[in-house]
Amino acid sequence: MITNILFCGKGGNGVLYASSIFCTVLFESTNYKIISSDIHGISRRGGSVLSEVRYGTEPIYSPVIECVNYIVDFDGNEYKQYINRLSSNGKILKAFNNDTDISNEIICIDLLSKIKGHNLPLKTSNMIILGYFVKVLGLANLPWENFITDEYNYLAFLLGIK
Amino acid sequence: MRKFLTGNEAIAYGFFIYGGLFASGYPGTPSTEILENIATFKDLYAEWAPNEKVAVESAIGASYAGIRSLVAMKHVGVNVASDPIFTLSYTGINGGLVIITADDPGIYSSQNEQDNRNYSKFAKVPMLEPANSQECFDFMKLAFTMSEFYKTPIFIRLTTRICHSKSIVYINDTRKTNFLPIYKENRFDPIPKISRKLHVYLEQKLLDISKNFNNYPLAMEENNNSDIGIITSGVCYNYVKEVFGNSASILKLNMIYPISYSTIKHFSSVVKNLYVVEELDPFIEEQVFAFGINCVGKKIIPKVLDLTPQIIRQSFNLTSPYSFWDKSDYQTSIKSNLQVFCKGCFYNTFFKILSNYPDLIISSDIGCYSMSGGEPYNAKDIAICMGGGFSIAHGIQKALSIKNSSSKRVIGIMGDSTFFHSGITSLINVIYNKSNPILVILDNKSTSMTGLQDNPGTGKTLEKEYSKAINIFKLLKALNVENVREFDPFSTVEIISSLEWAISQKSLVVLIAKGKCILKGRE
Repeated sequence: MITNILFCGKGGNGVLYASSIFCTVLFESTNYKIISSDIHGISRRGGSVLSEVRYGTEPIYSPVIECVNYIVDFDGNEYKQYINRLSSNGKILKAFNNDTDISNEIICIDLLSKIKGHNLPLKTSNMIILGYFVKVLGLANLPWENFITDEYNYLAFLLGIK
Repeated sequence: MRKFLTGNEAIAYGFFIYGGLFASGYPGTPSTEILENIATFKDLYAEWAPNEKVAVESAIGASYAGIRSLVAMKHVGVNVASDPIFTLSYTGINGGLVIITADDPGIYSSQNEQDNRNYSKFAKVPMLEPANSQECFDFMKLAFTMSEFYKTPIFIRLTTRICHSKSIVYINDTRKTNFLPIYKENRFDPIPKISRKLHVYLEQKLLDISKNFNNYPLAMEENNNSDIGIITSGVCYNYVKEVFGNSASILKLNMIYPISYSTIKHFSSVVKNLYVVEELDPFIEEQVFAFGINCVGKKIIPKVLDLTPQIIRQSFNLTSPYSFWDKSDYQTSIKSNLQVFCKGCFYNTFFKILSNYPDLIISSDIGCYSMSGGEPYNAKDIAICMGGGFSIAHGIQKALSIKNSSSKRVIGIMGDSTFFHSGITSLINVIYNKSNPILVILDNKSTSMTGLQDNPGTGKTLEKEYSKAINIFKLLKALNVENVREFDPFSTVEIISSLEWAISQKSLVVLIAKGKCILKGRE
């Protein structure tokens, strides 16, 4: 089985860093086959940033996902442009709760209250989402602490797992 | 050793392990990280050249001197570098020489999606095309080996999806270097009487490579006893495998020029219906047709943008095995993102002020300021290529003069790195041929668009060594530009007063915006 994840957001959200941590931990700590593919470049100026990640036990060929199992949106509004690629039983995990049309498939994370409540810098919000997401995937027991070396980032990650 | 690498990182690793000693290039998405990664290795040398042509010429020098060399650039960079490449194929090389062209199908970060596979046929330089990071690494060995055996430069063609995709790479070799002696052979001096002979040798060399295809792993046949046979290469191989699995026979070409008649002929004989799946131009398809073998390619596969498994599935009229989320109403609510300058970047103020001068024709260039044409700036009118901002401004200003509309002014704009790349010769043309545009050099001491690389004006090399920074003001004075003014682009007053002064002048004016890139300042 292959799990297909689409990490998205805007330049500055920390999409590529979160994706990189996720992939590194899976690569170093599991026997999964894994491919990731990033689209960036001029995206750093507030444009869309996309990282497609695929992992599983079967051989993986395409770096481009055809049918997405999870969309993880670090911006809160970017997921909409990828929804046509989401599997019928796929899930969306997104920052903030600013939508009027929330459905059961969308999990919203209230980042601001978590960050304010724990005196964390705003830039750690990507780690909160990543923490929540690895719990959803059942991967929370991997040695994340070995790879998230920044103290604030790791605190934020743990906050997401809680 | 097992690593998780992008295609760019794997190329850098391959260069290191297989004895690379000299690397050059110019930053450009998606190729930039190749040189940046090579520069992290010890016991080799890597540099940013001011442009791609200079990079190739420097690598030619290193190769002639007997060491393994590499030059890396994005697809449009090969246009700049093409002059030496077309003759290099005639002279051949000494130490192995690899030219990386990083193409951008889908136009993720470029001005076009030209298919540089055509360069291999046009310049008569053999081309390899890896399909994943492991092959990026392995093909460096293959490229150096073939380069030195056939005494030819080798192109390795990457695409954005290969450059920026990460996959697992096994590295089992250890680094070995070799210094070849310098040979003083007349092939390195291709005057007409020598070059005529070299062309004959070159044609024979390409024929030899094609006839001895099986001496190297240049093609991989997967015979799955299917009626459908697909010839493909590079990232498209992955998409074909994703869609067809083992239900089609596949001929994966690792070398896409020259290709082997017997290899194609054999594959076509074991399948009933032969297809070619490739991005952009019908490059392989045309070679197959030239062999007198029928196939279907661009009749069903799009010629524009990058492919995906989904597009291939649709092209072959295959039903998708997947069911998708039925919430199509969500898609309509997304707005396209504005491409904007970083917060605190002086480009924000400069271009917003410039948009208040609608009578000026604004000829800009390739860099962060490429974004100045759209919302919310609405400033730039024109941009074509690196260094073109000043030359195009010159042409427009001359044309206005011919049309007796000289009162209308043109403003040419480029950054410091672009100025060093090819803006200096454009400026010399303006001076020499006496036109009077207003030229602005946005000197933010950085090649920012591609990730804050250094350039000849920053005083630092790729290997982070000190270098004497070129002073643009002094350079302009040495070129006899009389009206030069430096201004502080973080000051609205100075921007407006400098522009007003420039517009009031009848002759050529060059303004230099002296402001550091806001991201560079945070480094």
